[in-house]
Amino acid sequence: MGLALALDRLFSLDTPVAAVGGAVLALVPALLWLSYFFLLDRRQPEPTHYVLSMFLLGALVAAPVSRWLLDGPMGMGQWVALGVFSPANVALAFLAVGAAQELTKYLVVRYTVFFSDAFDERADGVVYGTAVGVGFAAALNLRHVAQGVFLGTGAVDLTVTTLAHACFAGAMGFGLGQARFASGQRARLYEILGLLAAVGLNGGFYLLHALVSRPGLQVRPLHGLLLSAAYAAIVFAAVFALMRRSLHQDTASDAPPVRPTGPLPGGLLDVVRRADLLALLVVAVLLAAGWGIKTRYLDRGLAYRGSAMTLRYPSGWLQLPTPAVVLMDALASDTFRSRVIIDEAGGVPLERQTVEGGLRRLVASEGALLDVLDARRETLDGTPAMRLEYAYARAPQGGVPTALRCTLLAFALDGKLHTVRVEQSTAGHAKQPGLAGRILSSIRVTGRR
Amino acid sequence: MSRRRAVFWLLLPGLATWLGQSLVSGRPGVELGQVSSSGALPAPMARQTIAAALPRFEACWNRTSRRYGGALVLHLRVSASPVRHRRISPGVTVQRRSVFEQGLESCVLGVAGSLLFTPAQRDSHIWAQLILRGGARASPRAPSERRASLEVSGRVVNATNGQPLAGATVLILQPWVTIEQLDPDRLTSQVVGMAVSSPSGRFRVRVALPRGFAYGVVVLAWGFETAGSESVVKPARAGLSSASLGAIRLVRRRY
Repeated sequence: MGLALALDRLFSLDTPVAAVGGAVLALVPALLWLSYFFLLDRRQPEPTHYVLSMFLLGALVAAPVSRWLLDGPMGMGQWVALGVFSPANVALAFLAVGAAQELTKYLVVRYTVFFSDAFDERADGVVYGTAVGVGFAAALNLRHVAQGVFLGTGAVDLTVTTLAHACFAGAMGFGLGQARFASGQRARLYEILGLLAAVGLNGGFYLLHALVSRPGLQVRPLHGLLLSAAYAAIVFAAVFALMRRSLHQDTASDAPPVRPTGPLPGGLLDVVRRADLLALLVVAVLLAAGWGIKTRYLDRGLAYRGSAMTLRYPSGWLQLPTPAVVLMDALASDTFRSRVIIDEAGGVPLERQTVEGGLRRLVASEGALLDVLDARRETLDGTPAMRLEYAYARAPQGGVPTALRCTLLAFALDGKLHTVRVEQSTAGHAKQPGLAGRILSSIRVTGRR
Repeated sequence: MSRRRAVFWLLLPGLATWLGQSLVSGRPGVELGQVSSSGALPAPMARQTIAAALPRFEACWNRTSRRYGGALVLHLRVSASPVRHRRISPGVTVQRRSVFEQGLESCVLGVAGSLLFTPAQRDSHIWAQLILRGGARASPRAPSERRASLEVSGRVVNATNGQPLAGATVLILQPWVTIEQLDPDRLTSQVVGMAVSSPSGRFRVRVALPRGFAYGVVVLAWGFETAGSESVVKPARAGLSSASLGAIRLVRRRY
């Protein structure tokens, strides 16, 4: 880390290191930390192949599963957290990132090596926990460096991330080590406390990293990383102390573990029989709470004309400062952003025309390039409505024409024809085919028809 | 109870309010605007005045009432533009007060409420005090309604590798909106300008902004931490017609 920083400072390197260099940057701290924690357990070193297996399981199982949990059910990408300590971001840190990452690390240790005869000391929990944590961090770092990183800040970032994840998993492993040599309620308590401590530390690290990463528009990554490093160092000191304590306990008492030992579980029933499901239940509750908060924040509500009409839309969407009500996907990376436009359509009062007639006039005014894909009558909260799906090309001034796919819902509100139009580029529609249907089906009309 | 002790107990709520306000909303150096009555208004009139004024504000997020030495003081935290609402209704004007002045006024109200008014007057009068979070920017000059056309530009890059970030959303905030207050549901009233970064990471937004204020900027991008800074765009300074924010570095979310 020091060498990388010195090289960065001396030669003022302003180009990111290549993929191979990045992989070296990601794996070197992982292997160094793994060796360090392995060597700490000098009294009765663990089988090397077990430690390496834990490292690989952390990288190949825990990291992808937690990534899937966070990207899929927890919807991390769409989570707009404007303030670091906003309720959404705090929930994200502890109930999504912390809970999902530590749960997967816990599962890897708890349902593999925990049952083996090699897990014969309290300190082994810390060794295997840190091995999983280091593997997890290595996978995280490899994905991070795939796009290239600056040498100086990258080296610090990768080293700190590895140490942090190793320590979080070490705290969880300490709980497992204690649980292995306890029985009944006490064992369950150790497991749950170890897991919760890891979740709390991980969530705290995420918040601190977010806090120091965005002090303003001109971010100073090194300053932030040094603060993160200080946090990781404090956690490391605590885990180191716990490891020493475990080693001392193991030296003082040669009593065999009271938990059932034996070969790895043969089947699912065996796993369930031996499992302490309480710890899993606690984390499941945390994740469920995170998911509940996510749905609250990810699914935002809009009231139109007082509250005559309401609809729900994703949280990454923002309401534009325009006279008409326009909601736009702020986080998409496409040139054309998906949007919802709510407007009063046509100048003819509704008593002189039907919804269908008004819609026909409206569509006719859109232009000849329009291609109607589907049109059907619907009922919206007891009022007649029309849904129309069509495609057309929009050519912005001096820009490349974009093929758009629109779904339009027309209905009567306050005696006039109103429309809610969801516009997506064809590429955006291919990515999220159910988006328009989801938004339009959330519309509730309470105003006068 | 001795007079000195009575004054102490009367001062205490005011001091507590001052401390509370300082901790909750008054970060150091932030100036709070304030709407206050020009005197003791009869209770029904004050209520009507407040009721008439409230719809003009964007939001009222906290209402508390406390008695200071018998005088009822309403604290209403609202967000509003001091420019547009400098005079919200007869008898109620917007003033810009520091946190210290607010606390001092609360203390004075407490003492005055008990020493100057008879019990009958206390019951029939109400002190209206609306505490604004608006105008949360220290401004050396009085704000003006005159607008300056300003072009804000910059470049959004990935802090990890310096690569340009396409499709990042750049928002220019109203002067009284802090990043923590930014609500995706109310952007119409909170944002004055918006831009999307090009494939080269560059963005440009042209806005007409009232002089005398400083405006915050927030940058959002998928998979990155939100970056933002308050008071970075200052059209009043030296009659600027363009402001470059330079390279805005976003840090990728690590999970």
